[in-house]
Amino acid sequence: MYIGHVGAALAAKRVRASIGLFALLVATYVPDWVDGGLCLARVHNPEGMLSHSIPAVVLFALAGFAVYALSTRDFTAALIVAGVIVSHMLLDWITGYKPTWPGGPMIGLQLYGHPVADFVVEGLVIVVGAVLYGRTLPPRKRPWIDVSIMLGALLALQLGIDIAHIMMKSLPKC
Amino acid sequence: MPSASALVAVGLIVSQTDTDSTEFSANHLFYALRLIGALLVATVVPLLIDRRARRSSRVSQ
Repeated sequence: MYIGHVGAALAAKRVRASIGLFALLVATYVPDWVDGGLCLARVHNPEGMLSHSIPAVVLFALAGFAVYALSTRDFTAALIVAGVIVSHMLLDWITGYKPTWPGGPMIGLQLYGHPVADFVVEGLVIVVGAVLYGRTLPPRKRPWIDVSIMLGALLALQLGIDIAHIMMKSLPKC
Repeated sequence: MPSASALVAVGLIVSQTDTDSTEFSANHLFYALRLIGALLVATVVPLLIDRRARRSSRVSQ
C-alpha cells in the first residue's frame, strides 16, 4: 500500500486528536523508511524481511511506543502510535506481498500488479481516513472544503503512483 | 596463444562484473532515492494541507 497508509494516520488522528499529524505520518511509514534506509546503506533486505516482516514491525511498534511514551508521558497516545506502525503491515497484506517471519510464508493479495484494484482499495482507505480526519478540524462554515482538498490531493498522489506503476513495470527494486 | 586467450577471457569476465556492479549500485541508488522521495511527498503534502486547514479555520472563526 502507498498513500493508503496516510488514511490510517488520518483515522488515528480522529481517535486521539492530541497526537501530532507529523508523528502519525512518520509512524505509518516506519517500515518503508527502514526499507529505504537499508537500501541506501546497501544492506541486503530479502523480500523486505528486515523492514516488513511480523517480528520487524513488532520491534518498530515497541520502539515507537517507547519513544512516544517517553517524550509525551501519554501512554494511550503511544499505544495508538504503535498501532499505526502495525497498521502498515496489515494494510500491506491487502495490496502487497510481504514476508511473515524468517522461513515463513509470504502473504498478500499482490494488487500492485492490478493498478485499478489497487487504486480502489487504497482510495477506500484514504476516503475513510479523510472523513474521520475532517471531524478533528475546528468547526467552520464549510468544513467539507478542507476534507475535499485532503481527499483530492491524496487520491491524485495515489493515481500518479498507480499510473507510474503501469508505465514503469520493469523498474528494479533493492 | 592459449595464455592470450585466457587473458582475454579473464578481461571479459572482469569487465562484465564491473558493468554488473555499476548497474547494481545505480539501481540501488535509484530505488532508494525514488522511495525516499515518495515518502517525503506522502508526508509533507498532508502536513501542509492540515496546517492550512487549521490556520484557515482559526481565521474564519
